[in-house]
Amino acid sequence: MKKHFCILIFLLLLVSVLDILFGSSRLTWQELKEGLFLNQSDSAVNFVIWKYRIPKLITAMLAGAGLAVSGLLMQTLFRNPLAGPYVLGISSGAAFGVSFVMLGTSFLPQYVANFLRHDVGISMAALSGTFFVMLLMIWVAGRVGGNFTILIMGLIIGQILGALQGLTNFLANPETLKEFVLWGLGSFTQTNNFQNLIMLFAVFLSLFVAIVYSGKLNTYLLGDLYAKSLGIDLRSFRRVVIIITCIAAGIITAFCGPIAFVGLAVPHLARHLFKTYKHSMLLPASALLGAILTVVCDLISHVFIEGYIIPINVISAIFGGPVVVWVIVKQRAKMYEG
Amino acid sequence: MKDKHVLKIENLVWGYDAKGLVNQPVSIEVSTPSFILLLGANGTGKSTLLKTIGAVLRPVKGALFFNGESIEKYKKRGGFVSFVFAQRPQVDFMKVSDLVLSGLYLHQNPFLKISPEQMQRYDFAVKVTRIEHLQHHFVNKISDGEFQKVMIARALVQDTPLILLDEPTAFIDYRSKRELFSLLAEISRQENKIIIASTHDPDLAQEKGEDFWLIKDHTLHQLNHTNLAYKKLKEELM
Repeated sequence: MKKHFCILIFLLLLVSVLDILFGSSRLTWQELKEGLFLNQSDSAVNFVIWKYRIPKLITAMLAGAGLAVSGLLMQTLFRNPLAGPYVLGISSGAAFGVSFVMLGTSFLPQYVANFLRHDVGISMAALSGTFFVMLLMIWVAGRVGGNFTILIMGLIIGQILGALQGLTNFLANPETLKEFVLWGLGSFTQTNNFQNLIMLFAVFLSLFVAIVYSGKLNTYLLGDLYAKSLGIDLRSFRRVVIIITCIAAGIITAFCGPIAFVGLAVPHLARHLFKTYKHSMLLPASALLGAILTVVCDLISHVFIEGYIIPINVISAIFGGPVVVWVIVKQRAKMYEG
Repeated sequence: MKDKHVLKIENLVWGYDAKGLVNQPVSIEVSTPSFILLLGANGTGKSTLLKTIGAVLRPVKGALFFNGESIEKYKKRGGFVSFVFAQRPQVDFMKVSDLVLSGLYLHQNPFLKISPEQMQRYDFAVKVTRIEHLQHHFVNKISDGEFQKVMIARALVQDTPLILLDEPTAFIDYRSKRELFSLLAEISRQENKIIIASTHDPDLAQEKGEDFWLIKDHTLHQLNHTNLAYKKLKEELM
């Protein structure tokens, strides 16, 4: 197991260096070394590395790690392999917030609308959307008994918000609509250092709480009855899991857009590579694998067409999907032979 | 001298709605050692009673006390009651050994290792339930009968004064069934436990049981070998 983790950390470092080297323009080793370790704040290379590529790299890592952890938590909470970070309606909440601000503010005076449509305004809108959904889901979880009901409520809330978002889309003009569609495809380039810091805090907070809860999460997998019979207070347990998932996935979505696929696929990848159900192992494994996957996707997104950045959601499913399918099919086949 | 444990049921009505599943509130006191078989047709509330005793469900009316303390207040429930439910959990990549040890959750911080005493207990449990050869198999790949034995081993490892089993032998072959019931009876005596098991099997109940709770016509009848009613019970079960 330790060997597995060492390999993952090494891989993460490797893809990170590659990600910095292969940006929109390629750097040489020499440039990388100078840019990273010599303090020439006036050089262009230094500027590109520190102001542009490293923040983007950190955003990608944090988004991947946080979404993978959130996805794992949701798969455990609902004991359902199809669950992902967005089953609670977090992405719909964020999308509705953003669509409302981008598309629904045209009636406001120009300077107010421009202010709201600025990056910070968009992030704030997404954040308000996700936190609205989070509060709603916590309220639901405190009221209904079964986790299946919570899952259905999450889906329904998502549908309602999706419909409202459809309404704003319908009323919007084509240009802002395209802008909104692009937001929905995800991006790691819109974040600043302050946002990275908030993401860092959110991701580590959820990871830390989840690891403290790992014993309960393992027990919870045996079913509500066994969990209850061991004295787990299901309502407060579910509430904590929902809160930490919403904080991590919500903040990531607010800053990077809804990043699909990672949160659904990576926990499965972690389970099949580590062959375990234990959360003390799966949580750090998912975080590392998620980070590796998003950095690789980021790398792919700008090496293909020079000067263009392909949206991250396009890359993650097209390139990540087959890899994950291959690993799981291979491991399953092995499991049933042996 | 081992500690004496007492389960006290006071004016208990159980069920899922205000009406409950019994006509009259039930009051019973059980002390260690006891091996009780819970009998009754489907839908009479056997499982519900077990879940209520184990504080997984709230009683409709009345109260339950274990050693004088209300069981709802027992925060560390896993330390006084272990359960074998009828449902089979499905967890990918969980090994039989993991499942057998999963009852220790509350005695054990997730980052701590299992103590030598607990390991001894584990060895004992897998030996008496005859699942030694399954230890390294995945839980999802063993048969239903094997699975029930694993869950019984889990309850033994948890080593609680009160053990509740809901249809623990539904999928088990007849020979193993008889062995398991003898084993449970023996454990209740030797290790000073209260064991309550529900079963559908009249032959087995007649052969291995000593104390019975029979739920019939919304009433709980308490019977044992010395009761006159016992003969009637036998007739009813056959």
